[in-house]
Amino acid sequence: MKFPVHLSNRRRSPLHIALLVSASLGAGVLAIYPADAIGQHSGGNGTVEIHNETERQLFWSLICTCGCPRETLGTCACDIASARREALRELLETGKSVEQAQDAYVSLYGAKSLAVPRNKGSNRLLWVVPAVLIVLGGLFAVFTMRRFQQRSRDIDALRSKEKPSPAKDSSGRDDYDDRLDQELKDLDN
Amino acid sequence: MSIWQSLPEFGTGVLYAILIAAAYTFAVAIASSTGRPRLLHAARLGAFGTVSLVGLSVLVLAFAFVSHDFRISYVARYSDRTMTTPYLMAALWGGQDGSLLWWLFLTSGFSAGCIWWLKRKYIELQPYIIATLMTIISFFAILMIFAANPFAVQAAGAPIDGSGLNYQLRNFYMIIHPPSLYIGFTSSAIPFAFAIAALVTGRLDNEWIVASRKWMLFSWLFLSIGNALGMLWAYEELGWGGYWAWDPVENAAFLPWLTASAYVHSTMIQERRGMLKVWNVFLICATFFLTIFGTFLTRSGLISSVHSFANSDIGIFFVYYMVVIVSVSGALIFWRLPKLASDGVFESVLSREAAFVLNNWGLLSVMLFIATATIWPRISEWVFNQESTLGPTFYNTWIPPIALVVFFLMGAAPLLGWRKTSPELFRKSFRWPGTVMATVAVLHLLLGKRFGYPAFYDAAPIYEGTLGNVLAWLNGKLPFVTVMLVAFNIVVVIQEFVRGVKARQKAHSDEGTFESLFNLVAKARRRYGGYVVHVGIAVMFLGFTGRAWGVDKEISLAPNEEVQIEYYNVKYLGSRMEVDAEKRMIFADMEVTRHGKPVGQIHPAKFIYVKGAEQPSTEVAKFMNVRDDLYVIVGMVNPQTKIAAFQLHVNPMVNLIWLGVGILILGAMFSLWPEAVLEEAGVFGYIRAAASVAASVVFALLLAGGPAIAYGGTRGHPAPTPIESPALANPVPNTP
Repeated sequence: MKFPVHLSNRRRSPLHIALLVSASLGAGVLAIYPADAIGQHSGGNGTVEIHNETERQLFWSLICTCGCPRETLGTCACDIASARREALRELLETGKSVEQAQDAYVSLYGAKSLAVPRNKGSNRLLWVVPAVLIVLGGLFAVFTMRRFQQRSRDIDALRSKEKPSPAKDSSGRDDYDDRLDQELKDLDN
Repeated sequence: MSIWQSLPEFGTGVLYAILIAAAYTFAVAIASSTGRPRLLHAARLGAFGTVSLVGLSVLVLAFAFVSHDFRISYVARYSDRTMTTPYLMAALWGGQDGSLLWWLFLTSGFSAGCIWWLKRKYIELQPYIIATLMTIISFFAILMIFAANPFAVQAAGAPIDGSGLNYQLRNFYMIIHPPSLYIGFTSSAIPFAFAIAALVTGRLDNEWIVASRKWMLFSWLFLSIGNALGMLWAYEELGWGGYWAWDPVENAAFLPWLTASAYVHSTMIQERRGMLKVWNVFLICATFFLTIFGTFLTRSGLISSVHSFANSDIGIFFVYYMVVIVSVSGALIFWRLPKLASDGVFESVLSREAAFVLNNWGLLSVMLFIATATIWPRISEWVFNQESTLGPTFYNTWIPPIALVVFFLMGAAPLLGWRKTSPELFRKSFRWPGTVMATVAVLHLLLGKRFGYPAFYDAAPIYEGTLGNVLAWLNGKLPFVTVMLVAFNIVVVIQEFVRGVKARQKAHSDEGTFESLFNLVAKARRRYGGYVVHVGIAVMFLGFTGRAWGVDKEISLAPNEEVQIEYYNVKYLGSRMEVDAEKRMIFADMEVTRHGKPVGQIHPAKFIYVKGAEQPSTEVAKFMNVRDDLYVIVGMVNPQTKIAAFQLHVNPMVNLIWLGVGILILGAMFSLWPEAVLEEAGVFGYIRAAASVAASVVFALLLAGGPAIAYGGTRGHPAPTPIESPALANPVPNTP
């Protein structure tokens, strides 16, 4: 059987060359990155790559979206995290600040992809509520101690009216010796 | 049909029997409160019977595991035929249903121990102590019968083999970490039962406090051990270079530790001065509540966490139970407020009582902050319809400054006298600790950088604006402040020991220094044991600070290439593969040189399990020494070129954390050691004291050396010659 004229050897050469070049390139790529060919792996190398402190600050501030709960990009070694880190690295290289890179990430994956919620609006309550409770607790503790102290002063005043103060110890002992003796006497049970 | 053929049904039947026996014992115990000794005896026997049934249910489940009874769904989900007996036993608490049974078992064990110990003591309190413990047992029995039955059968019948335990749980520390933590959690039920009994009966004198204090100290010790083992597990197994990620489940275990720590201090004020009675009862109830709250967090799926068990319907049971705990405890405390009035008064702000109150305030502040942050994602979603996540950065920025206030108070309190401290005594007490602290601060400023431990570092702000900058500034100074306070705390303890020995020698001039020291500690174990615990915590703080000076590096290496990190030179020799019944292990062999001197080989690895091959586990390799850890993780290994990706961390002072834990355990054991006058006990007393020290040392060694046992001895032994064939190209078939 004869081929039609337009598929003669001379005309097929450019097509052959293109196919051969493509196949060679493909084979070359697969030889260099065999893991892609056997579908084991979609990027990353199983470790967390952080090049500088800016990257560290950024990656630790963002949650990986791979599904691992609460894993930041600073610790998650999965392929998704690796791809996210690479994309963010490129953003930083274009001159974006950490905040701008965070904004870009949040616009894609939502507010819950931030490891620390922005200090805005209702998120302020996250630290304001415990801080207020801590201050109130501190004030309560101080108030209670002062109240007890006042009661102690009242009792002392009452006692001093009832009996004269004992004579001063002339043996050279000081408060510290008294305290130590007392503590050694009633050593813990 | 024999009992073994109907094992699942038998197990479920035992759960019903537990519930009935506990309900019966509860009723008899309450009836015995009218003063009928025979009923009290019946309640005691009923409690022992209930506990025996709980023991039987655990035995049934353990038998199901070792006999591979895959008809039982829990056994099929958490074990397989390749698992060794220790891991089959660990599977008892590896999943949700079994861990609840394990919880019940430990609570029952402590209940039995407590009731046995009570004998003729606290007769008035006994009925209510038994009744309270039975309600706890009943709750867990109800939970398992109606929502999480560990004996439930597979609808589709028994599979040929089970799914196996998650590979991350196949770790030495997972065999001992959950039991330790659960012991801490469950033993807090005993002081809670004492508190409820004291509130109901109105016997709110110091008698019950003395009894419950030791139980709480025991609970505190095991919470400490459990948390420390959890840190070790995370450090060994999770492979990110750290040990604490402020995961909700880690937080849940830490919260009761904080309230228990507050209690073991504030109880001293009640014992000595008859004060803070309401506060102490509150702390006991809060500690028990937080153990239940922590279990709820872990098991309800409320907060996403790497540790959480599968979502289930048991959350609502916990909610009901927590409501009962809060309402009953709150109502009883309110009812008994007049009887909880303070007997003593604060005489001065410069007193040990005041320092303890501030210390309690600090510990509760840390607890409050962590609790709020832990549940914030749900609050944010429910109240503000806004999803959010809180990563470790938030906690690492906010918590350390508050924790350091508590750390300072920990050192200052022993320097103040009970009742009041005169200005002269104050100066005398603070002279040496203050001087050493100032000297260390100056030395750190002058020499720190030269030795690789700079006083300050640049912390990244977590927020934009002033607040972020202030927090970052504060955090940047933390290494300096921490090192100062570590010196302060340690000198305070040394000073207390020296003063105590001198005072004793003044009273007993015939005693030598070591004899005086020994007798001093023996006669006041609680006090000096507490000081040893303080040293342990100070050493741990130094270890925590080490992270500020850590160095990380990520690099890909071909065989025989080297990398330099700090003063370590690491040469990658090549990869090799080993195979056992349950996994393939791909090791990267690396030669380590420190300061130019060869120090041996390390072998980071990836383990690919037969079950769950899609998620290889990371096996970290470490070169450990007192100054730091070289922590190496291997990522991908190219099967053709053998080029491997590595993550290297130098973690300064991290081993001080484990050393500090060992010291802490030693101190707590001193405090808990049964009372005996060593002079009277003679040689036997010395032997017991030596045994206490030996046990702590062995435990500390076990902590450090344990992983090698778990990894089948591959670590620490010379590695076989690397196999020349590609590591991943021709994997050995997965044969069980």
